Amino acid sequence: MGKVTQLANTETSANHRDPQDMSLPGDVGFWTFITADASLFALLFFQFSHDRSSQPAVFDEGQRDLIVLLGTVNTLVLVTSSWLMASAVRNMYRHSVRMGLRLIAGTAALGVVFAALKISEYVLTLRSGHTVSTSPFFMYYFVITGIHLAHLILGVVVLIIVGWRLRAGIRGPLDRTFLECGAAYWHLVDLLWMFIFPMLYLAR
Amino acid sequence: MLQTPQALRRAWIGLVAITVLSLVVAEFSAISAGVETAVVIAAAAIKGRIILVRYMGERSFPTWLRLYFGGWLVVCATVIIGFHFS
Repeated sequence: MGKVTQLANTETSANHRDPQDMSLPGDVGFWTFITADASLFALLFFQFSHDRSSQPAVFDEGQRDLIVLLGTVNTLVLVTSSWLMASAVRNMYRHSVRMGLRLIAGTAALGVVFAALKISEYVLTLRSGHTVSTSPFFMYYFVITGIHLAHLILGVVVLIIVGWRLRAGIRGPLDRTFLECGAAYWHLVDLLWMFIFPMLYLAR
Repeated sequence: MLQTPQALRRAWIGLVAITVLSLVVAEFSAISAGVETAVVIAAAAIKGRIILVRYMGERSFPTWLRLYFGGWLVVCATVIIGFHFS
């Protein structure tokens, strides 16, 4: 009986957690994974920049064939999705579950839009004769954006799982962890793209 | 700490504005390639900072995580800009 009461108290406390007192979102193990992932991308940025410096003409020529407009639109799609996700977390904590779920769905939908635009861009790039083996620039282009796209697709799957799990609202600490980890992962996907886009498409 | 809806919206407006400005600098300005690269990558670092602070709740991170992401932004920007000038 005592245990049941204790559990009920824990759940009540979780449901009414003061959002102003939030500490580290998610858990430490998850953040260790996030930092390892971000470090991997930092290494890719280093290797790309290093190789570019040894043959800038080859990289500039490849970059000229990219569709900057599609990259820009995708950047706007991602920053908008991050806004929706941050708003979703706020709504879930403020007990606006319905609005929170809609915002999570909107975030995932924008993720699908990003993926569709990126795949369209791949098709156009391949049709114009550029493949992974065309030049070092296109090797990096396909590898870096491909790994990022894989992260984004995983993020969409995670958001669907989070939305499904939280369909009745935040019922305990584990639900909170799901929401915070899902949101942080999505923001990481956005953060990585903030460097990928100018490095590949804009910097000359 | 959760941000207010106004703060979240302001962050989004800032991110959109910096993205568009970066595009204008890269595609339509007459500045040199090196300066252009420095500007668009610095803009990327600023956008990263906005995402970390406004959306990821960086201010509630423990010290090690704040240092990591602060260093990550600086290292990424410095490496990309540095190699462009090398």
